[in-house]
Amino acid sequence: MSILANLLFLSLFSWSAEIPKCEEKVADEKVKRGYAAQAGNRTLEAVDLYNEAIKADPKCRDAHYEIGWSYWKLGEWQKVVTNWETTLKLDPTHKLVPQFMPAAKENLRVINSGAKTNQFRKNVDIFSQSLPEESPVKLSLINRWQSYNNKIEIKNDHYDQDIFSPKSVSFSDAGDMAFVQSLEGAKTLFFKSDGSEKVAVIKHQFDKDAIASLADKKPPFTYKQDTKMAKGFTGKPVESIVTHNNTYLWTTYYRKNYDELGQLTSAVAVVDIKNRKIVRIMGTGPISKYIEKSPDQKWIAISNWGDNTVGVYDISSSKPEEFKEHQLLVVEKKQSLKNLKANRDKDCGFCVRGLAFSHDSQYLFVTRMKGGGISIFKKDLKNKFEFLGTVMGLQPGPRDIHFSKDGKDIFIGCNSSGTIVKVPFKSMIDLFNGHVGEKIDITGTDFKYDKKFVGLGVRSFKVHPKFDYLFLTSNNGSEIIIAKSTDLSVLGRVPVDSYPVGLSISPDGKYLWVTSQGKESLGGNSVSVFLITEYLKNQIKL
Amino acid sequence: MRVALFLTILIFSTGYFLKIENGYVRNNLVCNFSSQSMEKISQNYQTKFKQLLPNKFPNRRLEYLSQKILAKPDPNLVLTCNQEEKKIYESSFLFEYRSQIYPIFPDSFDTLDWIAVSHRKEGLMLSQLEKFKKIVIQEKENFNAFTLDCSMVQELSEQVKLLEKHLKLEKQPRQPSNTKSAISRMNKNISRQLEFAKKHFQTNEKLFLSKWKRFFEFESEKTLCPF
Repeated sequence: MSILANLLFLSLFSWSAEIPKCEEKVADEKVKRGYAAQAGNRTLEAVDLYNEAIKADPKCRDAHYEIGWSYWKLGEWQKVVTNWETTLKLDPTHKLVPQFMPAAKENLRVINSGAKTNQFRKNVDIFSQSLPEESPVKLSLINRWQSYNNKIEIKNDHYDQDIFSPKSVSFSDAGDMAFVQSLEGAKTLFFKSDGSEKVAVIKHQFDKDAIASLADKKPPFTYKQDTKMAKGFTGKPVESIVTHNNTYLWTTYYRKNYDELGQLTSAVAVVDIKNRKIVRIMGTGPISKYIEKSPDQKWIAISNWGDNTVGVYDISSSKPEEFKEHQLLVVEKKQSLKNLKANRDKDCGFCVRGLAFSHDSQYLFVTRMKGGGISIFKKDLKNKFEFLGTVMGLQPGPRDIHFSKDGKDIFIGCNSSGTIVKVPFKSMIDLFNGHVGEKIDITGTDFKYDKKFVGLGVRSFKVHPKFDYLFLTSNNGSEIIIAKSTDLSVLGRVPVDSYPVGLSISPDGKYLWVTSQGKESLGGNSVSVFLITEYLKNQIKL
Repeated sequence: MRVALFLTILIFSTGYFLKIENGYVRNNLVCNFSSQSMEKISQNYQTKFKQLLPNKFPNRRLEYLSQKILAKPDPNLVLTCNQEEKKIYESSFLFEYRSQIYPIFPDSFDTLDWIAVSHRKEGLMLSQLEKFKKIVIQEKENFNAFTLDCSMVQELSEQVKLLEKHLKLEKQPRQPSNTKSAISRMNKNISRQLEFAKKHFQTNEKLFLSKWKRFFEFESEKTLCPF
């Protein structure tokens, strides 16, 4: 493969091969210009010119062959294979296609390998790199923090017993620190953002004195008082977010240690990042999960997996004692907390999870993992979030939801189908013109959106802050998938310890962290740190 | 009849003289402005180039680049693209006429408008200003492109540095029996990744050099004045 990569470099950069030609005059001019563009590394321009050449002369063998190389550079393997197959049809004696086609097909196989189920991996090689090697963006595993192997071979593989069922990871606004939520360890771990060092541990264990000084006295919203809490509890940290310009880290608790069925209120801890201590514990609904802040920094929303609700908190003050509950949003109908089954992962009503605020902070999107549907709330002039409606039919079980960098599109991932969709934000909102409060099923309508299969068990995903890529965890495949945010096509994959769930990208776009939890007593207890390198956008244009 | 002819010639001559004279004055103003602008732009390219190179960019390489690309590098040149300096400048007394001495930023257009107003927006003046505006826009685009390319080279250099920093194999004293094959596999991975990144950096550096060398050569031969 490395020989091939060298050949690719020679062919793409040195560009010393024979000048291409077409029979038809316009096509001939275009193919030559495309060739010159590719020689100057202007790949997108080259693709346009080659396509124009093909349009003018569909039988131009050289145009199909050369565009294959441009697509190679872009990591679009299906198009490489298709164009080279056409080249061979036009010229069965073509000498170069048979040389390179196997590598292109192998790369295509690698990126299409997401259909594998429950691929188990442990102790993935440090310094392993995403495949295909020629992808325009690459991930390199540079550090790992794990608690399954104390016989480590190299220093980048850190054995640390604080890593106990790591659920999620987030970054400081400044990008200098990563915060890992060790769910069963009941700890939040502070790391340097490159994963080279652990700098602090916050314990989520509270005795009665701590509860008396930190926890709110009244129950949240309209919930009943949890009388056991005053004696103390241990919280299981699940998700987190940083607010107030790097000052506070909010950490939601899945549940309190004594609340086996998740029937009681849970809580969110407000951590003072600088002093590394918890300064307040606020109440949430049962089984609080995802947490998101509004772009105007005035609101925090927390999804309560346990009862179809989302708590909205007013954080417009900079003082933790002035943060307050604002409104409890109910997604259709509040789930009864009576007669619950033991498995609250499944007995959860609509299982509300993902949250996303629109860039203008006016709309809040809530995903419903069970039964599908995205519920939307709109903030009115009195700052009340009113139910706008629910969109059905986009994904069977939507989990994570994120806006694109420009705020114009919404990406939604689905665990069960392994698909990702890209929907224009405005189209979603426009569906409810004259239909406020309704449930609209877009199945079978001409509602336009993009949908692609990327890999089974899509859990957390994130939009790269600088470049047009999405990074997704494939829980079943034990992989990180790199996809283009423009057309959702897959560009590469990298193996990661089983089974990845949480993922975050540093604000400077350089580091990607992944948390791996165990499944059915297999795998888990691992946090992987990848370095992201980009080669397509980082290129001089002539 | 003779008087009428004399008066006609006198009026036309005066008019012609005034037209030429005024045209000369204004053209000269624009011309000088343009010329200074070009020099300043050229200086800025040089300064910006040095400014954008990584902190620890090897001296020998900088020297090589300077010889290859930059016509007359001046080590004492004021950093006119420095944001802080720009702020100080914006609060200065002469700010209203800033683009005459600080010509490559968009606010040049304010000054161009001021010139147009002070010369009663005469047709010739406006047409010359239009030409000059085009030059300023072009120069601004060139300047931005150069800045972007510099940033790109800097970013690629940092990308390689980051890879070199993180892809470093530091073994633990205690090693399991299968270490040898694991270590050699890791080593192979590291060298492959570094090789790719370095080649990408070198290729782009080469492209950067050839692109801007050509540009500066072309610029040095170009007529600076729009007339």
